[in-house]
Amino acid sequence: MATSATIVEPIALAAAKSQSPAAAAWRRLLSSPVARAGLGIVCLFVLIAVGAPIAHHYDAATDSNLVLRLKPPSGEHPFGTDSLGRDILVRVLHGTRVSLGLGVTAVAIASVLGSLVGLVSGYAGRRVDLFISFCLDILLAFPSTLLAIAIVAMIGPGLRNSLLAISLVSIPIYGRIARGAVLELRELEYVNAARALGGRARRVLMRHIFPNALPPLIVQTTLAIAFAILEAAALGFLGLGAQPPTPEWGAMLADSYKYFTSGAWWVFFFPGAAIMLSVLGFNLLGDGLRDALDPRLRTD
Amino acid sequence: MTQYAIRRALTIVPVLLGVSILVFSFVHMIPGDPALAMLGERATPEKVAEVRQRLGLDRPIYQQYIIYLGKVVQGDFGISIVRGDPVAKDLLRRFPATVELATSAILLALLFGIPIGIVSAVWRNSWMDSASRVWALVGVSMPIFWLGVMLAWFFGVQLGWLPTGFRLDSATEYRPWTNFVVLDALLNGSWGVVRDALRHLLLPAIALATIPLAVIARMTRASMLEVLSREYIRTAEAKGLPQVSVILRHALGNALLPVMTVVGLQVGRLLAGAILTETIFSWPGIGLWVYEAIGSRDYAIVQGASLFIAVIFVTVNLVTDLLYAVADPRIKYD
Repeated sequence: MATSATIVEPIALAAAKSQSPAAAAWRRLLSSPVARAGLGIVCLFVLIAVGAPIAHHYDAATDSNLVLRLKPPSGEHPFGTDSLGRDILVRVLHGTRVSLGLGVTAVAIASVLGSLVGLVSGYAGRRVDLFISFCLDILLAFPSTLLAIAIVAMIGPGLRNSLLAISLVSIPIYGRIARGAVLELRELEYVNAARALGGRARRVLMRHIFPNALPPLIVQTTLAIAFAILEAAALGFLGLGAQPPTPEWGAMLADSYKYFTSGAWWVFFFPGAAIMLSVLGFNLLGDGLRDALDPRLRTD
Repeated sequence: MTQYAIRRALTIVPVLLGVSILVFSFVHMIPGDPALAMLGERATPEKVAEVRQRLGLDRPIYQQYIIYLGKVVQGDFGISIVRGDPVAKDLLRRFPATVELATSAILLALLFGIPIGIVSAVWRNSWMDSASRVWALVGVSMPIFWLGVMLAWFFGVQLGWLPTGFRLDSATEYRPWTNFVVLDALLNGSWGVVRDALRHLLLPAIALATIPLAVIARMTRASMLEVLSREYIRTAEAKGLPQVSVILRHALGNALLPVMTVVGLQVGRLLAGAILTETIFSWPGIGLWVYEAIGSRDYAIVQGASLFIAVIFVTVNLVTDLLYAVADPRIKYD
């Protein structure tokens, strides 16, 4: 008993002094003002997305008041009203859930499918790898915005279809990153050791390779959400995404942008600013995460 | 080198075949009967049957693809269902307007992006560096259709400085020749038209340039920082060369290599972004055409334009790769 205690003690001491990699990364993240700003913006939008429907019930179908058409910002309507007399602040706040939800869901689907495809491609044999890489190359041969637009134009407009299209065009980048990470990791000693000990392919992939391929995937996820929100807004703007009267930022811009000739700037300013700010938040956070998670990828 | 170029060029053949399969399958993504979807609910069964036959939808799918591929290779991109014109003809007629816009955008992006990147790298961590880095992130996050509307509203309506739509004033006399308005006007020596065309070009070009500008500035900064830390730069400084000469003559050339690749990748983005920008500024290029085609469910146009843009995108990236190999002799051709 006494001997085991003397062995345990120094290890426990060492653990107390050093930090887990995750904690160290978190500390590095919070030490950067850029990342803090990003984190703050993202948290704010997530709070609005979750909180707006709880705090205030909004029914887009019945919300219109033609007496209040195109009123400039005032104390009562801080962001003004749109062409149907709807309060723009209310619609921007409730639109957060639609736009953010779309971005996050699309990336969730794409990251799972893309990482899986990439892991298999990197670990399975040469033929499978060639075939998967070829399919990804075809998707990457299109500018992604164009591909998303073309697909939704074919399968029909709507929230669900634009979600599908954005997920599809986001898959290749995950596939590439995951595949690259596997190719790099699978030659390492500890993976060989795991295989030599009789670990099956799936176990080696999931227990030994995947966790180490995670940092670049986390960074990519943050940046991909930014991109997906932008893409969703573009589809909404072209009339291919959420359909009116759903309060989606891109669709709100589509409804209102023609008013620029009459000088009613508030109808398009606020929905667009919401898109820009939320996308900026995720981009700032992604930049900060890259510095914090993988010192090798530091931009400076 | 020639061998490498040929081998590299051959690699795009399977990719282009894959692209054609994907674009071909677009029609089969349409829910229900594509012919009915194109003609609308009130179409007569005879008309639907006729369109089905004309599109070859009554044949087995592999035959449909072979016929499609055969036509595409000969430059036949199908017929616009709404206007009845060949898609390829309209595509070529409208393409110069988009090229003009995209070229202006990329020139603006290079003209401002590279100097911003250099300043940022040379005075690293100064306020100029912080400002340009934040600005670059804002640029990447910008919904360009929103920026376009804001520019049109502010410079076009509030200040009344610049026009907010079309390529020329309706009063301006212009005879199309190459359909590149600025080029035509320059060749004719009609300075009034050049001025008018440039005034129309400025706002859409700024909107379209925003994202590539930010990307180029970021890339230039990162690549410049890498080069500036090299030994040969220290040697050049130690020789007592003025800083300007070290930066511009010794560092910049090598730093611009990775920037070149990024520019190639941005071309695809520009062509896709043109759909949004042209819609805002009523710019009569491919983008506006696709936007209108989506509204009228003119699928042949969406298909044709997608294929066309993808082919350009793949080709531009091939050319960038080859130029890279020419510019950097260290790249091994194996």
